Amino acid sequence: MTELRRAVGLRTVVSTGAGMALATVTYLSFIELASYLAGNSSWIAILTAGIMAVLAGSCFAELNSMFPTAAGIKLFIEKAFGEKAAIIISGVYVLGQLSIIGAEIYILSQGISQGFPQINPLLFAVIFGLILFYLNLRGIKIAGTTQDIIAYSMFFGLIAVSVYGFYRIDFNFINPFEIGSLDGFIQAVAIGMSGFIAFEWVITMSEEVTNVKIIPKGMMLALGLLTVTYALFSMAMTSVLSKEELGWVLKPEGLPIPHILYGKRLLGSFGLYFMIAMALLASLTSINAGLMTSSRFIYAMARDWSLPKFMARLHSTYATPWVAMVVVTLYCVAVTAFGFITHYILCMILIIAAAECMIYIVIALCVIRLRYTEPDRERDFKIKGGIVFPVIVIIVYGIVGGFILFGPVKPQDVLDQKIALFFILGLLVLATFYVFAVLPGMREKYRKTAEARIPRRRRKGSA
Amino acid sequence: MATSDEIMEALADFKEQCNSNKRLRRMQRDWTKVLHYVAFDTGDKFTMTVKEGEIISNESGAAGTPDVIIEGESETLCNMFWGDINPTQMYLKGEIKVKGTQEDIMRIDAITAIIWPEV
Repeated sequence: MTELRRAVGLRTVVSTGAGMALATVTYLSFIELASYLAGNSSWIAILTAGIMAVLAGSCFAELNSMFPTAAGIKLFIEKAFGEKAAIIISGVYVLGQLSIIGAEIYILSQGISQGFPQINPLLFAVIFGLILFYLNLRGIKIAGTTQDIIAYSMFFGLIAVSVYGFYRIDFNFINPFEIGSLDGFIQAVAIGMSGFIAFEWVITMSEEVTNVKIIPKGMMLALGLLTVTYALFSMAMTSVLSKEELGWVLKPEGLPIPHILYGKRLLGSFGLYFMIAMALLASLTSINAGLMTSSRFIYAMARDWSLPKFMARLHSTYATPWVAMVVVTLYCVAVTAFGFITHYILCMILIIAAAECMIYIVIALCVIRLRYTEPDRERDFKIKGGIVFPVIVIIVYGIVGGFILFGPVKPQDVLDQKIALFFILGLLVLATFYVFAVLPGMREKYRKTAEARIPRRRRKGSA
Repeated sequence: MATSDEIMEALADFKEQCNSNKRLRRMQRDWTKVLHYVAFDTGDKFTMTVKEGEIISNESGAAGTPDVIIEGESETLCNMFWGDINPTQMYLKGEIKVKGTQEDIMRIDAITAIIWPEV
């Protein structure tokens, strides 16, 4: 078998997986999760969330080794539970995950305005959004060596400022092993999960790698890198910043910029601009990749007749799916506007965490079902221990998902939790209505058009 | 099962369709690639060379280092080149396997979306 001219290696798989997950909103999540713990033990919650992500990642890895394709998530669900379930679940998942962009742009804009007060945060958000739209329209993707340099610089930078923070407090941590109540700890882990979202999107690189076995390995290494970096940085922020500052960033009247406060406290002006640069890079890579992947997903769905065909229209110069991009951008504008108007950011974190729980549970169910329905299909990676680990994933994420949407929260977080619950339910109802009430008629129309056409092969007399 | 000659005939028609489409040529003007097609039921291989959006040649056999490798049953590949099936639907069902960058996979699908929008 011939090999591809350009194939991606392990280093880039790790940098892509970890880089997609690292977003500015994560820093706020760390402070929020720490508020649910008694001591300065955020690292335990993050470590737990990381280990759970490894379990979920192994389910993705097994399915990916069976069907190594960028169409991944939809294909896995379709093979296990049929097309209708695949469209509903992947639709809710993609839209749920995109909600992070609203929080991301809002937080980034507020951070930028600390270093450049002359720039109105709203104006920056608009400019940033336009830049991202332009990059996507041109099909410019941060990839390969550029992705490696950016991602590894960010992780090195975060680890370095964390260690320096520890040095500044003489490695004096307050109650680093005290987690408090079990309810609080589970909620902290649930919020910590939002730091790992999108790591699984690395499976979209399945068709680009030198060897498909690189994907599970890269996924696990990316999770390890994320867990270590997050644990260090969250400990550093919660140790260096005062209780008042930590409380302020979580209040609607405060600003969700703990990383900026941390940089400023630690290194003055240099720290401020350093953290702005880090946040900008993190947002640029994660949002750019997120927008591109989701607009390609919508394009593929439209080409598959799962969404209206007009969403598959291509730009006549750049060959990019511009209608799908406009749809994704409008959705992101709506969630960003929601952030600017209401200042409710936690609800977006809860939405993406709930969407993640849902997809991990579904993926684990797919592993179990396909073990029975397609036992002989080749699997380069197979989770050891039969169905024990997938069952653990279902139970653990079921509990955590339940806590996110229904568990006890602080009084000031109740409204965020309700918004998240109704948003997810709304998406599910809409997707189900679409699949059962709209899709059959639309497909029938497309099928009739296609069938009315005499196959060209027969017309030319080749068949 | 489609023979090698049938696939070559389909490829010749595909080349004509692509090269005569002005919109497609403009859209793909910066796309220079070598594509390998593999029919896994017959073992036949084909090489398509694209230069600046124009299909320069279709050859039998796997020549050169490919940027993209597309695998499928011979019938599927043949029908795909005739424009009688939707490649995205085949791809999403796992009946066509593609190795290459997401950008290239998108470009290949774009070709069929432009020349046969009704499929």
